[in-house]
Amino acid sequence: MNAYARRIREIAQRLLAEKRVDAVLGYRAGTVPMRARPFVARTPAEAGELTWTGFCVGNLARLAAGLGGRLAVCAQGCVSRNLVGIVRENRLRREDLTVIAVPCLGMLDARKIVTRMSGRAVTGVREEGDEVTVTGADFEEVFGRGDVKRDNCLTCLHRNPVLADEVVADPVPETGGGDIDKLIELWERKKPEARFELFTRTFRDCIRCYACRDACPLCHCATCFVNRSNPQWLGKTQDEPDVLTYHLLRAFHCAGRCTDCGACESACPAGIPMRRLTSKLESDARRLFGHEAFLSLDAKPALAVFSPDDPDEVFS
Amino acid sequence: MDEALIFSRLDVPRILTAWGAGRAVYIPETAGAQTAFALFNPERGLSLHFGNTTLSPKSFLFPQTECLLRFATRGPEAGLCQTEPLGAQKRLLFGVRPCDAAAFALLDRVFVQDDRSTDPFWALRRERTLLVGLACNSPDETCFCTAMDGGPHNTAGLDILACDLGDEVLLRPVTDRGRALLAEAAQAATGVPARGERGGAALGQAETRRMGAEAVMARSPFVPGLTLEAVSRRSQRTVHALGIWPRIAETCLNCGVCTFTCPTCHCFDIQDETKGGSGRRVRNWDTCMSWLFTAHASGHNPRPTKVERVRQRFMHKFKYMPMNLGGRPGCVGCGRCVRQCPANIDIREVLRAMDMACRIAPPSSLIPDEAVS
Amino acid sequence: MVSPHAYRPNIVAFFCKWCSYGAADLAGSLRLRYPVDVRIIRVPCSGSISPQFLLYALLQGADGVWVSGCHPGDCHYRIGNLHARRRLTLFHNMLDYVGLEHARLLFTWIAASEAHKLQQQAEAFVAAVSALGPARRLVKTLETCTL
Repeated sequence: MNAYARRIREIAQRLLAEKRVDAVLGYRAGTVPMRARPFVARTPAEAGELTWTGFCVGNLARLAAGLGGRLAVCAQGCVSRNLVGIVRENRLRREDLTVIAVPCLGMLDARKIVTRMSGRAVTGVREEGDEVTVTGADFEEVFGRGDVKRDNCLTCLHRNPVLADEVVADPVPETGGGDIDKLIELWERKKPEARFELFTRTFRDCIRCYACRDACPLCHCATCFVNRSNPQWLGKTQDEPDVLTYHLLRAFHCAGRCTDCGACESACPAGIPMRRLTSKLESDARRLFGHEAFLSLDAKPALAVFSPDDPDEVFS
Repeated sequence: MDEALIFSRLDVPRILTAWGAGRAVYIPETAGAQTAFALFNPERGLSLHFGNTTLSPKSFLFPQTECLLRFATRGPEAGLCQTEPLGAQKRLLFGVRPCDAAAFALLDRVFVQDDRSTDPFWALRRERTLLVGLACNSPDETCFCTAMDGGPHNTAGLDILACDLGDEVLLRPVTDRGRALLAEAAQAATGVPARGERGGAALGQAETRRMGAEAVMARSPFVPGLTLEAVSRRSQRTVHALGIWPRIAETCLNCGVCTFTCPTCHCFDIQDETKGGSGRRVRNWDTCMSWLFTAHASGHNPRPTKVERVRQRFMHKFKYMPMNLGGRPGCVGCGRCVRQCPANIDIREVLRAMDMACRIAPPSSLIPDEAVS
Repeated sequence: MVSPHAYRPNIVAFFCKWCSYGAADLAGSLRLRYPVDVRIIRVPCSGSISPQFLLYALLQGADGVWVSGCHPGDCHYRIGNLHARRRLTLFHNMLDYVGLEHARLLFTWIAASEAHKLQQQAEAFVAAVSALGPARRLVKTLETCTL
């Protein structure tokens, strides 16, 4: 990872010094352990703070459209696809965007680490190749990277960025190795009553903070459906039907566009496994329509096109 | 029971069970990476080793969704409102951190200001909820209560403060209700009064732990020198016009995580919901981070972009609330927003930026008597 | 015929104006009887149906939701129903996945001439929904649980 950080800084400093971009959107060190935070570097000196660790989670494409000017963005596979998305959805012009492509070996899940620490406070994490060393005041433990990797990274299908104006490293094996369709099997193999119970239990702790929506690069409507009042599509309460409807509609708005970046899951303060829902839509788009979101600038979102041979089973 | 009592740590479950007579008792429980208040179950026991709950305990007194009244939309009762029965049961929260208790004391000043503006929903729940705090012996990296007029062993807002001394637990009553509660505890288990040599030793240990906790915070790179002094000195207009805001706001997602996990945030939205012939008026938590928060019916929005909303949040905590509360910061330093902000926007850094900018900002031409110095 | 004292489901139907609603009109002209529990909302095209409408209906207490449009290839607007096919397939699958009883959802292609098909589908759907009883899973009530 250190090599990545060095390359990113080099590239960013050069782009800024040559005035090829107005700003570089990347990450710098977080203020707490196991975090990296989004950072907009506007001068070569500021670019010296850019870093790259296994905690560069969240999705920078979410911030890219709002920053204006000519922007360089550090992007892994999923983020690069979302950048394609915001260009296609006319929120950013391709000529204003410089993609600093970062082939990704998978990010780490801070919550998995915290759970394994059983209450002991973590002060630092070192990543060396396939090993992750977690340190605290009076302990040090080593894990295999695969043990504490994020779930979506384990099943990632596109680890190499699909857009690249600058390249940080050589390409890596394209997939994470896991079976992405295994996630939906958890619920699909159960009976309907059990599925509904799982569904309600999964979203029980939702506090309607909308962090899932606000962390998602796909969510950019000028007026979100939750803010409509004429009609008011759903209540603002914490009552179960309101909460479940919110999540169903939010997930559905991502149908055919979701890159499974997991930003929604990272952002959720209640630790809700958001992807239980979005993964079903992603899987259906892939298996029913042969479609994966935003793999190239020419591709159209799954629901913006159709085929005469589309499955018809749902209709009588 | 006027004085503090020392109990064996092994007696704590028994004391909680005794306190549970006629009350629902809640304790913090950790599951994976989340810690939350849950109903005390003697069979599951309890642990005194936790940082703080993921969400603040404010929802016990200020639920996220609360029905205020009900009405009929049709028939002979149409238009008449029935206040929702305040069914607040008696409760006891054990393990409340001093920062969260200070937040309750702060919110008391918001919700119970005078006879005519008391919020009856808050007031009744407050009256029916006893708060037993657990002093902080090992603050988290993100804690900064000492910079926010608080402290790891502070008692403001609590009825009893418990201090973990290892094999023993020291229970210190704070209010009259706390004293009565402590007497109940003394019935359930043997409590040694904290006086004489034995008591002095225990009190000394507690004091040592308090100083240790404060020292931990003092060693944090974020806490020393963190103050509202310059912000309070400069005028509202000056703080509002500082040049720091756009950069602070640029990575904010404008979600509601900070506001909803914060123990002092208290904004809400009241709405009527109807179905068929009946309706109810509900109050839900609202967040100033939302565009809708200040959207006018005319379409105008005085906080149209992210920058205005982010600025508002920090000014509310560090300027407006101190102005309304005689200098008391609107933040208690619990650190939840620091830990949970998806973009890792750190309120400690923001306050320091505000402080430094206030020191060097030129005098305001509009407010001639602003205390610039 | 359903007894007037038995449970009568509340079914909300979105019919496209050109084909399916036309079929409903034709059923009327032909004096074909079908259960009155189906409340039809006329929309220009099945392609204009947003999942928001369908979830809103469920939230408000609809026991069954029915969307019907022209047969693929015959859409009055050429391709609206082809978009609807993809969208509603994903939507149906998602609701089934989260455990909403899939007998509560019906998606049909009914041409303007297919009044008999409409009658059959209506009878079958009402029977299926009645067997399930009133909807419980995504219905907003005004009950609140407070601590």
